[in-house]
Amino acid sequence: MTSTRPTDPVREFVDRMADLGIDMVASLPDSWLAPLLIAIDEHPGIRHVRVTREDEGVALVAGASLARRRALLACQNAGLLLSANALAAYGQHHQLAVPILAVARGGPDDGFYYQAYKGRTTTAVLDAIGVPWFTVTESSAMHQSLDVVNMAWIHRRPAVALLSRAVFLGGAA
Amino acid sequence: MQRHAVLRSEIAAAVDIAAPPSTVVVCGLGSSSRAWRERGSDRPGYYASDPMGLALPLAAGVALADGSLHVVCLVGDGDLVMGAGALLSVAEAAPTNLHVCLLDNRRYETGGGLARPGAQTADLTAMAAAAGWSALTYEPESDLQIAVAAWLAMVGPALLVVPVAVEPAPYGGPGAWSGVEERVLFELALDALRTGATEIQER
Repeated sequence: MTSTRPTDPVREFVDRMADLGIDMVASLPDSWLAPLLIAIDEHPGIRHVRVTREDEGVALVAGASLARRRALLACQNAGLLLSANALAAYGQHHQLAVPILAVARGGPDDGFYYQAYKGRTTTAVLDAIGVPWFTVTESSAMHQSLDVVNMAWIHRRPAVALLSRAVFLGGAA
Repeated sequence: MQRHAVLRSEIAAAVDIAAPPSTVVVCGLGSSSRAWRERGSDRPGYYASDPMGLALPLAAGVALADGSLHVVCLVGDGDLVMGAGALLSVAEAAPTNLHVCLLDNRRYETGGGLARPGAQTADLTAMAAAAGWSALTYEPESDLQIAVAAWLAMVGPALLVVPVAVEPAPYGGPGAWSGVEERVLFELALDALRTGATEIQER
């Protein structure tokens, strides 16, 4: 069983997040995100807001953006599919920055039938609604995922870093 | 039972009169936005439509991001119940500077006036209170201005449910500004509020 306790690199990642001015993170959990969310919970400079649906988190981060403060959403890619209307609206109609770290379930590193459809559909949906995205596949490149913060602010819309299992958990599926 | 006696414009006026100077107003879609827009207030106002169902968490995001602001969210009952789970997460996040006024006509006004689920069975004030909110219902025979003042004096997140009259809800055309233009106008007004300037608010 993989430990959900955050490693030092994950804690350093959260420190870097705070250095970028992120002082609020909305989240809905996934097992691949557990070390990150625990490290966020433990960080004294970041308010962690647990939401009941991912589109609620998208709106919460959009509200912070409207107040010109930096926040981000951490969730699973199923939450991106659920949030298509919110992502399209904040991206196209309001043009509000919403940085998102989303673990990408259903790819080659995932071993569950019920996750597979997410891997087959997520990027096509993001492309269709005009949300820019990029992938991070290695734990050693974890910090690159925070490029999503500037990407969202420069594009003035939601932007997504899609993260493999290895990023926060390491090892094979 | 005649509970739907208050006009939306009366609520917008009562909020505008009673809210402190540091207030920004975030409106849900449809009638709540129209009521605030027609009020013509100088306060920074943001129109969260669309998407439907997310005015509450958007307003909470503003409130949590800047504790120096007082955030009022004007929202209809159809909008709120679409995202009712946010009652739980906002209660837990506990933005003390967030006050939500629910314009409750128990139907989807702009969508044709059809009833919303739970219109005759659900007590939205009790739901919010059970989730951890300060919450009260305006009683139509009482003084609206006093009720609004009492609600604004509550520690947030605080909900005031106001049963409102069924009124016409015409679409009224696209308006002068697009969504992104409204966003920029709001941000400029917010800057002016934060710095004490007045030019933008007179726009």
